[in-house]
Amino acid sequence: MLTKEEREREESEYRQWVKETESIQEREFLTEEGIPIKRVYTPLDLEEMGFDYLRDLGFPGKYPLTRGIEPSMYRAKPWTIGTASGLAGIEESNHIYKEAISRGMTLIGVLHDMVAQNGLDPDHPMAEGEIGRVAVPIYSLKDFEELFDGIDISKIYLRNNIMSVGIVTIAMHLALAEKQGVSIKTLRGATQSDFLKEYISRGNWILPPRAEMRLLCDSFTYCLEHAPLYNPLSVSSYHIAEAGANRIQEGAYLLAIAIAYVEAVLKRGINVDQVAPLFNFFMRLEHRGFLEEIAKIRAVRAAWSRIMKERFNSKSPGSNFYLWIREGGSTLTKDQYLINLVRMGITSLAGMLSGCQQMTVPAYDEAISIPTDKSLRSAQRCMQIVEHETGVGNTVDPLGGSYYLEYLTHEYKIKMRKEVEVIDGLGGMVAAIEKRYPQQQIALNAYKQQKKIDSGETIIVGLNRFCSDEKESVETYEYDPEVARKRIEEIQELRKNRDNERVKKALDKIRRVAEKPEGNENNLAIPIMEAVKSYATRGEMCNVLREVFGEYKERSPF
Amino acid sequence: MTRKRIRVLAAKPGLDGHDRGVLIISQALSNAGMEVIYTGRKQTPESIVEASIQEDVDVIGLSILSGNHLMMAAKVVKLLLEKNMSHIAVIVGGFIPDNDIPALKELGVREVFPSGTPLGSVVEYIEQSFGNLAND
Repeated sequence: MLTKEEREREESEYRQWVKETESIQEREFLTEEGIPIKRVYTPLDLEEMGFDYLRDLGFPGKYPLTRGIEPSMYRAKPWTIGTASGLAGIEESNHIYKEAISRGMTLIGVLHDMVAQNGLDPDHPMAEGEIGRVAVPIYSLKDFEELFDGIDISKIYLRNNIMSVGIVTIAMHLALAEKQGVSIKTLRGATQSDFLKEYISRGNWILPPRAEMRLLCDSFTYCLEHAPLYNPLSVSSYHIAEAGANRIQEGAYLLAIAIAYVEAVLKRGINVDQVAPLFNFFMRLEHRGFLEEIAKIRAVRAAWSRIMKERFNSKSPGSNFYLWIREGGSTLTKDQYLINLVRMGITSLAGMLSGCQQMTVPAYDEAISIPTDKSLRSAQRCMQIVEHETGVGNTVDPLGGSYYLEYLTHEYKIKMRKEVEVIDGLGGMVAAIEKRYPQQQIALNAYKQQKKIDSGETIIVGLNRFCSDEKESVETYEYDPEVARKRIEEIQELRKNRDNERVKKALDKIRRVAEKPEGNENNLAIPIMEAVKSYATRGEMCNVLREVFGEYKERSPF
Repeated sequence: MTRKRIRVLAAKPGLDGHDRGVLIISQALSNAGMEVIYTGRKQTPESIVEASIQEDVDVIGLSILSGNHLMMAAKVVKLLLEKNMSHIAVIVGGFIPDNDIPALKELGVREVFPSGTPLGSVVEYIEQSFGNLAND
C-alpha cells in the first residue's frame, strides 16, 4: 500500500516517463481473451485494482490459497511427476510403467483405449479398428491385474483416464488393490469420472447426465466409507481447453462443473468437508502465454477457495485444489519434432511456478504417434530438470508480487467469476450443457483460434513459421493390428473360463439395484464391485446400465 | 444463373469424440456459404452414408483422429458404391500420416487434409471441386 505522497510521486514520474517515450511505435498487445497488456506494470496498477496482500494473496496454505495449497509446497513435499501413457499391448504398457517408475516417476496416468472409455467390449461392432489404437485395451479386472503385474500400486499415485461410468473403473482399481494385498483404507489414486466435461469436449459419454451423476454420488459415498484416501473424481478442464476454450472459459467451466458435482453429492447427506478431500483437479498448462497460464492457475485456485467458502461454507475452503496439470498435446508440432522438448521444458517450468501438485508432459512425438519409451523418457527428464536444476521450488510462489502477474491473476479471477455467474443464470452447468451454451462458446473460440493460426497472427514455430523442408525420420510407435485380434480372443477366453453363474448373478444384481430409486441405500458400487471381482467385462456391466438408464443423445452445438 | 449451395456432410465416424476439428471446419464452410450438416459423434459408416443420401449432399467430410482412417474411409466408399451413390465425394481430415495419403486416394478418397491444413485450403478445394452453377 502506497502512502499518499508515494503515490503522487510515482504517478508524476510515470506520467513523465510516458511523455518521454511516447514516440516509440508499438502495436496493441492483448491476451487471447482480449485483456489489455500495458507496456509495464507498477505499484500504481496494484493500487488501482485495490490490491490487498492479505485479502488477495495471503500466505500459502491459508485462505484464499492463491500462493499455494500448502504452507511449504515443494520445500516439504516433492512435486509428483509422472506419465500419462499406455500402449496397445498390456505387457508393453506394463513395461513402460515400470520404466517410468525406475526413472523416479510416482504418478502413473493409465490411458484406457477408446473402446474401454466408451464402455464397450472389443467384440462390439463399434470397437472395430479402435482396440488399443490410442491407449491400453483394458476390459476387465484380469487385464488390470496384468497391467500392474509386478508394480506395487500402493507406492504410486495411479490415475485412470476414464470419464463415464467411472464407478466401474473405481471398482477395478479397488479390487486390484485387494488382489495385491494393499489396504483400500490407505490407497491413494484416482479415476477421473468427470462425465460432465465429456458432453462439452471429449465426447466419450455413455449414459445420460442424471444416471452418471447417480453413479458418481454412489462412488463418493462408497469411497467415504471404504476408501477415504482414494479420489473417485478429478474435475478436469484440460480437455475443455484442448477443445478450444480460452483461459477464462477453461477456469469458469471447471469451477461450474465442480459446483455441480458438489451440489449433487451434498444431496446424499454428506457434509462438504467430507466431500472435498475425495476429489481433486486436472487442468491444462501451456508454454504459450507463459505468465498468463500461471496467472490462470492462481486465479482458479483463489476462485475455487472462495466458492467453497461462500457457497458451501467449507471449513477449509480450497484445500482440495490438489492439482494435476499437463501441457496440451495440441500445441506440439510434427515438423522438427525435437523442438517440442523445448516446449515441454518451458511448460514444466510454468508448472512448478504455478504451484501444482502433479505434473505430466507429452512426449516430443505427440503430433506423430503415441509415444515410445524413449520419447516418454525425455518428457520425464524435462520435469526433473526443472525440479532439480532450476531452483524455482526453493521458495513458495516465487513470482507472487510481480505487478503484471498480480494484475493478470486479478483480471482472470474477476472474469472467470462473471462467466460462472452466466452459467448460474442458465440454471447451473447441467442446464447450461442442455442449452448447449458452453459447447457453442468453446466451438466459437476454437474457430477464432484457428483463424489466427491460419492468418499467421498466432505464430507456431514449425507450423506456420520457421518450418523446415527436411523430412526428419523419427522412430515412432507402430500400432499392431494383431493386438486387436488377440484381445478379442482373450476376452472370449475369459468369458469361457470364469464362474459365469457368479457373473450372471452379479449383473442381475446391478440391474435390480439400478432399477431402484437413487440413494445411499441403493448404492450401485456394491453390486458393481462384485461383478468386477467375478470378472464381468466392462462392456457387460455398462450394457446393463445402458439398458436401464438409456444412452446419452448428443445435440450438435450449431 | 444461380449458384447452388454446396452441401457438405461433416461426420465423425468411430468412437473418438474429439470434435474440435470438425466443428471448426463446419463453421468455416458454413461461413463460406455452404450448407453444412454435422452428424455428431460416434457415427458408423452406415449411418454416415444414410445421412449423406437423405441430406442429398455433394461431399462427405470424415474427421478422424484415432488413426482408424483407412478402415473407415474404405467402408464409406464401398457403401456409397453399393448404393449407387458414388457421385457423393469423400474427403478425409484429421490425424493422417503422410504415408497414408496415397493409400486413401487409392481407396477412392478425393482429397486428404491432415491436421495443420489451413481452413482456407479446405474451403477453396470444396468450392473449386463442387461449386457449380445451376440453370434457372
